[in-house]
Amino acid sequence: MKVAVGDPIPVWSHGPVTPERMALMAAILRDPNPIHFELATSDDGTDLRINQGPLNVGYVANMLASWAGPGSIKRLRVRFVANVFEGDHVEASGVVTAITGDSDEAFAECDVQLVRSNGDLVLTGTAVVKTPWITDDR
Amino acid sequence: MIPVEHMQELVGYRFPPGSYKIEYWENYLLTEATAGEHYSSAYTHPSFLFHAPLAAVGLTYQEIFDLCSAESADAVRAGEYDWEILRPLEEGVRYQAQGQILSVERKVGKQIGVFDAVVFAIELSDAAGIATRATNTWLFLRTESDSGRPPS
Repeated sequence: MKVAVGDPIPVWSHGPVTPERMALMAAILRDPNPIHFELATSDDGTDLRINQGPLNVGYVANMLASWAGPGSIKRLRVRFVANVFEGDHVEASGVVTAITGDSDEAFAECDVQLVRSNGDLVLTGTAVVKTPWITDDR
Repeated sequence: MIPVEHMQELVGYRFPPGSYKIEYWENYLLTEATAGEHYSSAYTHPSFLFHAPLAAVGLTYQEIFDLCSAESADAVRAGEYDWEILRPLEEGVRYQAQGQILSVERKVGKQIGVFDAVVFAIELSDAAGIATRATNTWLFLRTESDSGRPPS
């Protein structure tokens, strides 16, 4: 398998986002912020819980690990632009923007993002991933 | 509203040194929470770069909220994360932590109004050297009065 600039990263999807997973994450993190386990008002005025930022980043990390393998992520930079609410379906995606390294060790630089089921951009960022494959900078 | 000068006094604040070991059950449950695939103990989930550094320096979220004068627990938002992974964190390995607050900047957002962006970085190291460096930006929403909750 070869990886090249412009290659899309296989999409990683998840949903619906559930209050149970948020509560589990809040307990693991010992995060007292009630927006993750008590109802808050969503964009359309309904009362919903808000997903944790580390979970949203985790979906992007899951996409990268599914693509390039566990331990492949060398850097992940993200900026949060919107919330994910319970009941949402999310989709992590990305594209290879550069290949660096040499014949012994190659890295793919990628643009990554997470979007909600309504199309809203949740987070955007960049990643550097060690590629297990032969690179091809065609 | 807390004066920005007071917040800027936090720049350079060094977190107490400490350490943290990710247990099997933590990695299993956090991975479950992300709906991710379970890999070997040599690869904890990358989202531990949010949790493990803070746990290592021994601060609870509430203590960080207090340090940064959060008006309430729900007046805190994630801004940006920059996670560098020189070597994946492993289950059962104790990592030493050191870190500090890098910057504080008061800004105004269209949706959230006035907020302080607090940037802090924490490195986790073992005997082989630095394993990870997490630079996270948290947003602390501010209201005009000291006592009220932020506008919804």
